[in-house]
Amino acid sequence: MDLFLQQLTNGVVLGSVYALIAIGFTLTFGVLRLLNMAHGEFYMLGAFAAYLCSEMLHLPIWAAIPLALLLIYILATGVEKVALKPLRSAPHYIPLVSTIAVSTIAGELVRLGFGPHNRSFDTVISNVGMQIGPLTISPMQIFILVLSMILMVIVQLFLKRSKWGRAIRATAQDTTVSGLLGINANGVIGATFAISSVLGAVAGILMAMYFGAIYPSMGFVALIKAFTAAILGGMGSIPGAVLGGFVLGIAESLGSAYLPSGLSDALPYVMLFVVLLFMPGGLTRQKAIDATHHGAHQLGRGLIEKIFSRKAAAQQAKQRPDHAFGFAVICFILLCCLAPFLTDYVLRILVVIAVYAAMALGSNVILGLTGQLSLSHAAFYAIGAYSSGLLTTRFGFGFFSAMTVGMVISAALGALVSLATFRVRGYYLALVTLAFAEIIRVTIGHWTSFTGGMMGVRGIPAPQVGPWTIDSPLSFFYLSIVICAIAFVLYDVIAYSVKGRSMMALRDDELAARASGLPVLRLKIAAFTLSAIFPAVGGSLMAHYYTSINPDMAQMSETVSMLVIVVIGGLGSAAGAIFGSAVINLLPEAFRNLGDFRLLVYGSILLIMVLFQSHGVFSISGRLARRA
Amino acid sequence: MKKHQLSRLAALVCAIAGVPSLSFAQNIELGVIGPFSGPVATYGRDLSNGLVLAVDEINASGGIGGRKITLLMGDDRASPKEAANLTQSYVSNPKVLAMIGGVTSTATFGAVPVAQKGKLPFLITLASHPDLTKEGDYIFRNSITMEQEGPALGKLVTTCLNAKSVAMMYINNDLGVSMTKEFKKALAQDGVKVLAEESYDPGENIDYSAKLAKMKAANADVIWFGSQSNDLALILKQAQRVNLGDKPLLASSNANAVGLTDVAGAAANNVYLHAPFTTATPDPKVRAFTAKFEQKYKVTPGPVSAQAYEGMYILAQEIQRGGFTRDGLQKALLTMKPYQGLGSMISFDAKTRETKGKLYTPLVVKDKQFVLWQDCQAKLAKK
Repeated sequence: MDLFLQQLTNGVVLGSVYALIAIGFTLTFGVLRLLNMAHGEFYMLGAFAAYLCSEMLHLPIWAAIPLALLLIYILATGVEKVALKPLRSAPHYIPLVSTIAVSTIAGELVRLGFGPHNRSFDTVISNVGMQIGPLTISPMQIFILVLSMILMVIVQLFLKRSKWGRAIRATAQDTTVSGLLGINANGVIGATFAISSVLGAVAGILMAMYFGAIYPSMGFVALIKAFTAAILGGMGSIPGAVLGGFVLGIAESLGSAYLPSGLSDALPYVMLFVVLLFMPGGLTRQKAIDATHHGAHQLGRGLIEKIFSRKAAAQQAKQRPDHAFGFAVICFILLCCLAPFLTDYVLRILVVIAVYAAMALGSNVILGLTGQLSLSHAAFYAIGAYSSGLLTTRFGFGFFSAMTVGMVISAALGALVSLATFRVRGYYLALVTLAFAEIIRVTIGHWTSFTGGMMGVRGIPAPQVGPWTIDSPLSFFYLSIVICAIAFVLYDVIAYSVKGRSMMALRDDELAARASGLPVLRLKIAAFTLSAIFPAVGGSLMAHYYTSINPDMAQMSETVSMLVIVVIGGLGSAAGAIFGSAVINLLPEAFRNLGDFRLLVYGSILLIMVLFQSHGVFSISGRLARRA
Repeated sequence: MKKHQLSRLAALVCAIAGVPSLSFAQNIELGVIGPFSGPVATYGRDLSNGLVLAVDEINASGGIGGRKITLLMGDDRASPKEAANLTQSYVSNPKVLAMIGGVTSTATFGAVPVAQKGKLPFLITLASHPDLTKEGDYIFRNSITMEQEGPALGKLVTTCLNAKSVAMMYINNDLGVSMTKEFKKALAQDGVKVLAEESYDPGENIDYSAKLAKMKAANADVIWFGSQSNDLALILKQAQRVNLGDKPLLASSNANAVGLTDVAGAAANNVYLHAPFTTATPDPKVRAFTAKFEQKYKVTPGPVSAQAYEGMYILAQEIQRGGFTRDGLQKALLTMKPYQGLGSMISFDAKTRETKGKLYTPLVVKDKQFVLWQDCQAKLAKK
């Protein structure tokens, strides 16, 4: 009982900070319909700014914190102007990639400036426990709880009572109409982004004080907490975010006391998954917002324009084998002929490019063709890898049979996840899929008796294809480029089939698609199932290529890299996936000599590409837009 | 000095005779692999600090047989994909004689099959997964594996702390898992009971208070943390809030880094641990290394830098014996002559290619400093 009360108290303190991060996250989502992947970085930047002011400028803490927050406000305003404002009319996944780039840049800048190690962050407020009845509580915990409560009340009053608050709420409800009513939408969006970031920064400072340490990579975990809490409570709702924050904090604290460790780490994701599936509006039952109908961009598109673009799509369909396809065929033949003359180093890079291109084609089926943002590709990648790894090392399966099993398992799970599409759409769907991926990752990491847990699987044999043993970079190159070509053709067949066309209609306007009698749910299930097969094949190949695998394969960063490939190459374009994969895999190789600055440069280039080529290089929709 | 002049003379003779100076004038290139960007870059920096210091010393004293060493710094971003590509670039580059480094096990697993297949000797100086060296006969490791550490930890519990029961908390990665497994084996042999066992995932939830409360509730004689210095610092700070009581706290060699004492501050006081490398020892070689390191980088060296430094000297010693070829170096490493490292005489077990001869020094944190745990040293010496 004592443990229960103690953990409940700890959970409330933790929850109050989670609530603050979640409020900021949900505010940005409210006005921008944007999953701000850089929100965690503002949390981290807040803590570092406070550290800079207090430890390096030797300011007392009461002066250091406001100054730090001011710095964050200015910084966030700048980030919004540079990285988000130009993308206001772009499709919703483009600003998402832009925030990923911002997050990489911010994280790396801080690492370069402060060094990658943990720094002690100690304040005058004591964090030593005092015995109060059965509970041990520190003055710091009381301080954090009180301060975050006060802030929550202030935010709520600001939004409900002040003129700015009303403007923010009006913009969140309808950007276009509030614009017509004389609200400066751009100004409101900018201010909201900055306020959200400051709230994130406050949370970061409080957490730094609570745990007594700061480090450049602290933002990522905060980001996960933010969107779990925001979703739990109901996206876009401030009271919801507060409730979600507390529920998450308490659940985590109690979970870590009463559940086995694997389960307690998976707990937030399981909660996310269940809540999204059974109460898509979150605990406060917000109206589910459909990401396909958002912002001025979509509203401004008239009916006539839509009809025209569909005509254009039909024309495009007739022009099948387009020049991108021919180009790819030439590349394929050329590479196959040249391969024996290339060095092993180049061959290895080509293997990776081919495999990632094949996997990105899977993301293309779901995002490019069907317009659904799915974040579970890393899970299917890991499932493919583990199927091959475990079946070939322990059960004597051959290369192709193990790969087939992986494909079947992935497809089945893909279909299972797609059932969620019945209930949730847009970003909610993205988060269901993300929660699913995290559950898979934690399961692989903790099911030690079967998967080997964190120790992974090693000694995966070289694939045996007919008479050939695929164990050199050259043979691996041939295997992967053939599989990539099969994936390419398969994708092309899907895209230009009736089903593919129907998927695109669904992407462009779900309501219209439904009205014209398309089996929307069946199409989505088909898209999810098909798209899960591609990363499973990639995972299987990479398992044999690396010869050892571990649960890191299911990390979100893998999903993100597939997503970035698709966005850079151009949504829906098969040639684009190959181009995107080449860029993503060649850039790091080209920049290896930059040493410390490597990720920074990579992030900056990503940002520039998104800002100036927001439709991707080979985008079908981009070409259509120009034609229309 | 004499040798140096001799090789120069030889080079001169070659040049005059018109013989292409095969090797004398050429630099020796070594490929470094480690995370120099991203979240775990802190280890990459420690690695490169140790390597660069060693190389500067070796080059200043005339290089290896008159040939200077050049390090190629390769960033693997802790990803196996990049590690494999990078390793291949070293394998394909005929100037590269060997590879050194390897920080995260995940990335290093991407590197070892490529190095083994390409017959490029690879000396791992940090990555700890026990299976890494099993890839083949070109993979060596001069850092200790956690499997080797388990039994040594057992001795601290029985001999020095005189404990009959332990409560355990460890990080759920290859390092924590393999160390805990071997530690438990050693404890079982000595009849010490494990009363509680909790693991936590790296980089997930950093609120450890519930797990600490369980450690306290287990009421064991010793509380052990199979943690890395970063997480241990956070854990110890939270332990102040939970108030673990006066039970002795024991950590592992992974806690032996200034990151622990810098971040945890007074919360780290009285934590017991042991380590193969420590700046607290009177060993003159370690003293000299520490002084040079602090002068160059303005920070106290930790085990990551020390192992990198030792590894570099081991390679330097064996490169010449191996006749400046990859295969020669590999054979030389298999039969390497023991090297006086920073605290221990090191050589490789010819079968496992793991280091042997590493000694652990028992340590305790006093006043935010790692100092010798003399009482324990005496007890261990008596046994």
